[in-house]
Amino acid sequence: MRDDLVTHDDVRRAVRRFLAEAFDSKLTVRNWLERLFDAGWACPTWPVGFGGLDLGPDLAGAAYEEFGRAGLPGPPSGLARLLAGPTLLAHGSEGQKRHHVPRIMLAEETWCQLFSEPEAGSDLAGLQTTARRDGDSYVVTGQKVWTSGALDADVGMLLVRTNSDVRKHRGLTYLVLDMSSSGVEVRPLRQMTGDELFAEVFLNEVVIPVSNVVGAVGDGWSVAMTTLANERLALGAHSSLRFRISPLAGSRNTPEQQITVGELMTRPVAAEPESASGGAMVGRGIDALLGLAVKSGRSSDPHVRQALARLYTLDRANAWNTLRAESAARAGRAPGPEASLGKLMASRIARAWREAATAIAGADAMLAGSDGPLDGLLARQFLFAPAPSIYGGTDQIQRNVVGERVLGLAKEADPSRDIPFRQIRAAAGGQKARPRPSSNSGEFGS
Amino acid sequence: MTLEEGFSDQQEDLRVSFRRLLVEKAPSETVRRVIQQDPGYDHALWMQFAELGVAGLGIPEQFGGSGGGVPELIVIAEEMGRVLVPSPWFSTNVLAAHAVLAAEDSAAASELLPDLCNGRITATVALAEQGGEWRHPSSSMRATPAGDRYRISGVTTYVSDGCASDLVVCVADTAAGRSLFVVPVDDVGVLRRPLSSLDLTRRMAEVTFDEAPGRLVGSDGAADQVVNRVTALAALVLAGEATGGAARCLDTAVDYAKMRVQFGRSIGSFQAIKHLCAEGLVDVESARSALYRAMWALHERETSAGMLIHLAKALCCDTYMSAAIDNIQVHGGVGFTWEHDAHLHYRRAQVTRLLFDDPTSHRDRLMTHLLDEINGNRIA
Repeated sequence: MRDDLVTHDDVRRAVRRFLAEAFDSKLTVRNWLERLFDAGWACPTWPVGFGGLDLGPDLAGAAYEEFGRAGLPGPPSGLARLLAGPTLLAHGSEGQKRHHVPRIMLAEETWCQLFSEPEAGSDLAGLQTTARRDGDSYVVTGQKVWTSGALDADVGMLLVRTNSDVRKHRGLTYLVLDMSSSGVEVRPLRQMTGDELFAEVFLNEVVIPVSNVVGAVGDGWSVAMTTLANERLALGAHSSLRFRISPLAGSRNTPEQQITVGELMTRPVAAEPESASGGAMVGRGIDALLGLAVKSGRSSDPHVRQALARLYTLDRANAWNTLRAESAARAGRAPGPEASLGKLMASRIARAWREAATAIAGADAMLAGSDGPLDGLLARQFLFAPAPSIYGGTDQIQRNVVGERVLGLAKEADPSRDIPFRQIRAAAGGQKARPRPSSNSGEFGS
Repeated sequence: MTLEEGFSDQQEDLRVSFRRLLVEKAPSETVRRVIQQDPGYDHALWMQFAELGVAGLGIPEQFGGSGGGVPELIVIAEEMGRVLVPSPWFSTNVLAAHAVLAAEDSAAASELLPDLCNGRITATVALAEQGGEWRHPSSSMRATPAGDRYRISGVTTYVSDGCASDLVVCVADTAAGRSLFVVPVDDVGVLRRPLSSLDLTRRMAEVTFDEAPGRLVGSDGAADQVVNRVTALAALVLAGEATGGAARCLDTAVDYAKMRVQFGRSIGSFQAIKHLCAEGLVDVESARSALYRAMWALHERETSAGMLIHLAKALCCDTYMSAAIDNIQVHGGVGFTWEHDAHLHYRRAQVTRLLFDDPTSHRDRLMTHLLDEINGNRIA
């Protein structure tokens, strides 16, 4: 932390000074992001030299507030900034940090997260995509799934198995994958909302340089835990630690970085991708629901009032929980398992929104699109509501995390935990091979 | 101070030393003993509270109080709620002393408050009538002038520590409107009937006034703002007790889940139990956040304080109830026994959520505030 940035007022003054010297609405978005990066305001909690100033969250909050007051844009707040950046800063090599961190903050790169597989969802450590060493490279083959933003991504955070002869958590390695590599095939998946925001990614003999290993070979699990902890925080938290406006990122959006900052600031706010932040998304919707209740004359109905008050309460409590956690982490600690609390709250909020909205709209809640309440927002949120309790680790997994790592309860029994990965498959295969009863014949489990 | 800044070192010290005192002086055996005899609390401990300044919290030093503000009251409330210590603190300090203070009558304050703060005199506030609400007090209470006093008649109920108090502060209608009075209980016109409270650690009474002599406190017809302030503070302090109680129930359940072994494993390793506890932690942390947010708002006299207290009272009391229920469930048969403290919390949780209006009614008022805000914005 810098000696001259100790109090909120110091930070506010420094931001104002920076704005007076460096801001001009005629700058291109690209040039403005460069100035933010060089001055350390792009992400003030990050280290000096990497777009940050090493500020604690409390002081960084004051900086973001100051930028927010001026209505100024900052770096994109996507997976690159929320997950890849913190992971590289914690575990990456000097070269990886120097290469990627500026590109993330200057909106050049978008990232996706290649963790889940068809046979490894909640049991992530059981993943099967394998990397075979070949000289200075790894050759990777396997399949990933539920990959948000894979179609647009320039880079992937890829978790693979480099050793099947050790326990499942031990044989994993974390790689940076150039998504334009030969052998990478992205197939969009259609979600229950009708959108195609996630995809399955097939990897067929993809060659990745050994220098792209993040952390140590075989230590991928602990690197992935950093990514997942940041993901829980991003999905659950009602964080104030961000710029409110940002440009679209990535190589497919380069025209966006050539418009002026003034143009970016004045154009209508584009809808944030739903997967970006469950909390933020639903938070915006509360005002919409209050308005709908008043307009439709339902605001005096006791059931509606209770449902809305419950929703409002959950949303505020989540914001205050985040605030308390951020202040507790003033020392700049990495987000811990407490972030699972916010993730669980985000799921509750999505459900409470659905119930309050249905109570207000009544039979109209049967309708979607322009016929539906709030120009279709109600229907879209209804369809999206099951997602927050699944993505980024299901509610059930989050409860395990909270129970085991915050409350200290004994771990879930996992017979596959302490044997070499290779033997798990054999054991499970043996069970699967048993004939199954065709109906309820009284046989339970196996 | 704000939610981000949190409690001061002094306030944290108060919590630590007060918790230590309660661990020593109010273990479960002691609590169970004192609730079986009159006055229903440990008088020596009450005198110790007075010595420490706990009996005079929030009351300015010029009236014999120990100063401090809303955060100190909440620290004490949380700690009291954890151990269910029976004490006239809520009725005497939180209700009666703050009612007298809110009336802005310096003569009455100088005369009455020092004895309340030093613990010599206990007092309470009587507001509700049967089935009624606290914020819209008993409509049967009437006061008619009689010399320099008033004669007060009417029936109030759910009066905290009604039988153990020396003074009752009440609200009654005069020709000028709703007014605040202090009535000594030793007059023949005051009839106190102990109620059989579900909560064994918090006594309450029905108090009937029959031409009882009362002293007007504050201006004639000016009790509405006193009622608003006292009901808001009472709701917040009860939210604090509820949060402390909920945290204790969760701690107890988690400890038991770690220790109790069935099927060869600690029961906390089973998701059915683990997930119950995890959701409980989400609840308790959220209740704490809501409590502290409302606390700072009231302390800093923010305009949103009233609304935030409604939110906190509803959330914290719901949380306490579910934590008390889950605590019994995690303990199984042991949790259903008389000897285990789980039922003391279950009983307290029920009373805490209904005292000074239930969660449904607080949520309804929260909505009124929110809708007012929207309408306000529209006009502006």
